[in-house]
Amino acid sequence: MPGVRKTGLKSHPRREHSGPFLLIALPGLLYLLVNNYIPMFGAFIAFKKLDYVQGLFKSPWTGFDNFKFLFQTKDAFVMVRNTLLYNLAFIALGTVCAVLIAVLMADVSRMPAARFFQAGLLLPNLVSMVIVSYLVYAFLAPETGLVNTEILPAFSMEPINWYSQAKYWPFILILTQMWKTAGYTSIVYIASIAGMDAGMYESARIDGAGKLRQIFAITLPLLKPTIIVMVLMSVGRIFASDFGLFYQVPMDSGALYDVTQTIDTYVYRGLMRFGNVGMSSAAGLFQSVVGFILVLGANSLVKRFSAGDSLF
Amino acid sequence: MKRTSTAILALTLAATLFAGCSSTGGFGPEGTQEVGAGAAPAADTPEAGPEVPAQADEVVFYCLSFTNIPDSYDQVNTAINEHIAGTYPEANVKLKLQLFGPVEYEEKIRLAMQSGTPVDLFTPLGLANYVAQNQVLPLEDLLTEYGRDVTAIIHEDIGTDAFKTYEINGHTYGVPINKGMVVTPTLIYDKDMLAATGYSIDSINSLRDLPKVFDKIKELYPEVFPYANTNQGDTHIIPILAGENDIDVMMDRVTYMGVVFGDSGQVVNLYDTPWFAEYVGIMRDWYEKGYVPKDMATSPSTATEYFNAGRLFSTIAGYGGNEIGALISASTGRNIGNKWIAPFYFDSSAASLATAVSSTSKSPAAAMKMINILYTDEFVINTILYGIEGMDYVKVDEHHWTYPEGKDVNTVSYTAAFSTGIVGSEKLQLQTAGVSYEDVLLKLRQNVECKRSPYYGFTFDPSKVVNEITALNNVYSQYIPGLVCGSLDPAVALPEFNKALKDAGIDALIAEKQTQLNAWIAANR
Amino acid sequence: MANKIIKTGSSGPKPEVLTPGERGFRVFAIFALTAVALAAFLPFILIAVSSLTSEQALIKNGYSFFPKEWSVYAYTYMARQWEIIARAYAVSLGVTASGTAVSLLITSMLAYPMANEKFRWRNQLAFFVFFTMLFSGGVVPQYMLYARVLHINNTYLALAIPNYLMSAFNVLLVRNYYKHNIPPALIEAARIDGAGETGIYFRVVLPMSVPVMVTIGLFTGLAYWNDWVNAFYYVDAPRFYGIQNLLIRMMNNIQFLTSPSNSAVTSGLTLQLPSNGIRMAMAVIGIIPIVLIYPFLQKHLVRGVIVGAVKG
Repeated sequence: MPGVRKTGLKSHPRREHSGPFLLIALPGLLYLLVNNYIPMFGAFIAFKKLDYVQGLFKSPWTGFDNFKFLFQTKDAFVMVRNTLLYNLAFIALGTVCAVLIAVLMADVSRMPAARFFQAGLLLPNLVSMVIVSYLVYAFLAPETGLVNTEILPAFSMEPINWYSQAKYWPFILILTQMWKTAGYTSIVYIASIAGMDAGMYESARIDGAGKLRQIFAITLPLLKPTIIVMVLMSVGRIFASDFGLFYQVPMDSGALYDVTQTIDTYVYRGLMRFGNVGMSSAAGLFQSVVGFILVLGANSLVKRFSAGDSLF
Repeated sequence: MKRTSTAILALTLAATLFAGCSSTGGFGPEGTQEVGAGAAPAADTPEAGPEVPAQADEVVFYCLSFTNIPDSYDQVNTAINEHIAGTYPEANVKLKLQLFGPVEYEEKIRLAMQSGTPVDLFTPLGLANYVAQNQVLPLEDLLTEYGRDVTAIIHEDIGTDAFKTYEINGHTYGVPINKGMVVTPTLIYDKDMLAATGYSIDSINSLRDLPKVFDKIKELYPEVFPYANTNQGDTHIIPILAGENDIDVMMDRVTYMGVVFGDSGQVVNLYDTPWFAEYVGIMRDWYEKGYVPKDMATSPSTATEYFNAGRLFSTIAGYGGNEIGALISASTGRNIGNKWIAPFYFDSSAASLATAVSSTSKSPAAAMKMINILYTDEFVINTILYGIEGMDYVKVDEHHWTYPEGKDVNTVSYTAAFSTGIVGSEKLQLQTAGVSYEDVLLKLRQNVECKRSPYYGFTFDPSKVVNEITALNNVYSQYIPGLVCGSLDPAVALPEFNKALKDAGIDALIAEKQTQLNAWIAANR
Repeated sequence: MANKIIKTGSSGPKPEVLTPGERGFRVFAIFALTAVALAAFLPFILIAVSSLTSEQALIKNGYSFFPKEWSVYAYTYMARQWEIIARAYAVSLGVTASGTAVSLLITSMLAYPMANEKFRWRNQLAFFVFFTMLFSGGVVPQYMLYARVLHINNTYLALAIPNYLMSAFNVLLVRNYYKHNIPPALIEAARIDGAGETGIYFRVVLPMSVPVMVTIGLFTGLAYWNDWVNAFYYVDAPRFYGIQNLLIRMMNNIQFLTSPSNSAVTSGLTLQLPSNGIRMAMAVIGIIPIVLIYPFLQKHLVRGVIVGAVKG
């Protein structure tokens, strides 16, 4: 490394700093190499019929056979549609909620109550989806749930058998997801706002800009890079879904499959009695490849319109 | 993200297996009987054990346990190995026991085998998949050479045809856990409530006899549900159907796709038959009349919890023996009775879990010698299950054990007490104090006496229709809980369900089963 | 720019004077955030109350804020195993603290070069990092690497190193923060003063990244705290179990013990296990330490993320 530095000094001015930079980055790079890149070669299991005697490497190749089960039936349409639409909703609504919370938090940051609010932002992220599913059940259970026993009667409405009425579930699932993640995500935006130059707000105030104007003219434009990065990262996972949210929260109710079946739940339900490593790897690889293509596209769009903000 | 979902997969898989267990025999302590096959020498705890020869072949046994994993089981391994060295010096084997919880069990086996970590013996949960991926060894030659004692004891307790159900493509891949396998559909009911209705249990002989009692129950106890599930989303009507109509489920005791009635030799779709339609209709009727909780198809609350809360009159589930009512009474302090409500039909799917030898085993001969010891040596079995006598458990009498004074399942230093259905031969296991000896004998008798399907021994290799099965599994979990619990209207949902089954490829599955069955019949005539 | 930051940084907190418009916005903010916080807190109170409700009442009346019958059975049941619970707490705390500390360092070290215009491979590096978010080789190759090559299975390292030591998401967040919140002029000034890249990183960049460090520290810490997967794959002995892993095992065993047709029934003592209550008690046990530590943490959080940074 020192060698690079000396020789590079004059003859290659652009490479002048690469050595020290790489040195700083080295521990992290090594970790990613070991933890992520080397194991990535295992993805070829998706194209193999695993045979334990022959081992990972010598098992016979099967081409795309392991992928077939994903597209076997018309369920393919339903699960892809659900996965995509929910993720789009989560990205759009999630961003709006998180940014809104962050803006509001920034305004009250000097009040003692800020601590109380901040704790509230983190709490829902502390429980697992299994516990969340029991909480949702506490509210929606047909016989004993709080909604049917307390809330609906108060408005003299009939109890609803929630777990067999598919039409309510897009809202319930989106609400649950927002409850669990919006506060947590907003912390990223709060940190970004915190890093902003307070002087700009002072000058804007002196110029007579109202609160809303400050938000739209200063805060949001400054948040734009963070928002773009967050959205791009979500696009990469647009074909994946939180298994707990779509399987455990609806209590695996068959009547709701039309609106709760995602790629992950389908794979789980189909393979749970097989333990077929090849097929589950195939599903994972498919999700990753599609996410990868989409994110490349989205990133080049960002590059075209807002060069400095692209992810890579 | 992915790792978590795999882990959840493993976890829920384990949960489904438990659910499956209640209809395939359970892990219950089921046999207390002095060994008949004369293979096991009397097992006194050796005072100071003989040296374990260093060059003995080590056999690694991955054992499923449902209690806290002990901090160390060196003492148990040592005690067992001293005993083995002293009793079977010619075998020249030693045991390395490793316990795993249900969350991790199968994943640990897979990881060990793929990464070259030694593992010799384990209990596959779903043998066919292990065979398909070449994870287990054929055992027939090993059994003849090193497994004569274990073969004898299993022939006696399960039947001479016992190994057939572990045969795939002409090879035997497992040694069945030796225990009662018959699980008769059993009505479990509150005796006091029944008495209050004025009906006698003798007047209840099938599902159809229940509504008159339920009406009375609802009248007398408005807070009580006449009926609730034992397992989530399953009213047990399909096993009842199978028992009443001699249906061989062709190895699929989970989704029942493609079955054979009696000795017809024809594989058919159970869900497209008038018998299924009738029972689904009965359940719809129960649902509409309010005999069952409205959320029975999805509710995580099951019969046990309702019984405990005093809100339940009855449930139906599969049990071995005939004393489950007494046992539930003893633990709840309520007056619970039981009655067989349909016969059990003994087909290949009745087969219990089996012990298998890993295909990566360095010494299959040593592994089989160890199986022979595991199934025939009282000391080894009970030490694996309950630990060191005096420290981890005490003997109550010849057949029964209990925890030492002041200790329980969570506080003893070693126990695998709930693995009784996993380890070897239940005949030789000590029973939990309070379990009746008569019932244990009954369960073993049932194995041999139960009506057998003419296709007993047929096994199905699903590898050619894996894609169809994944799709069918999804259709099954979408419709069946709603249909069998009555929350779906069969007039609408049953045709829809059958249409979805067709779309998912049930015909291809049935055709494949038929082909394999025809071949099996030809070979076994 | 640099001067300005230093100037605002040195001026102390000023009393706030609000215009009527700003006051209106403040009221709205407080109202909205109170709603968000209540939505977060109430379910937790429900969890805590449920863990103290008798099992009979739970089955009979469902979950309720005002149970008809209280019971501490779930906790006395858990208390019998206090030794292993305490040990698991210690494991989790140790792993969380050490893992998070190392993670913060290597994450920001990797992010800094990616944010620096002077580093010619910054976009390639970002891509290298982001790629790990999309593709994974699955469990098996990773297991083989850690267990069979590096031999860290059955050590505490196995809990801290795999998966959580660095997340691409956090790296990109930090890079984004550096890119937009650290004035290049400041770095230039340090360079003119003769500081090398490593010197700049440790003396200028690191001290300025408090808000984002607190943010990703929080994310990483929670990820470690909530992890049960590493212990699941990489260790066999119970002394390595963290609290979440232990709780999941206990839950699973209870699920087995209370499922009716197995040996547990016949052993006669387990039928009355309050599985619903214990489930909730376990959720409480998993959260309690965070709730206890949080007030101490929050001092830094509020100063770091909100108050401190807004004021520069």
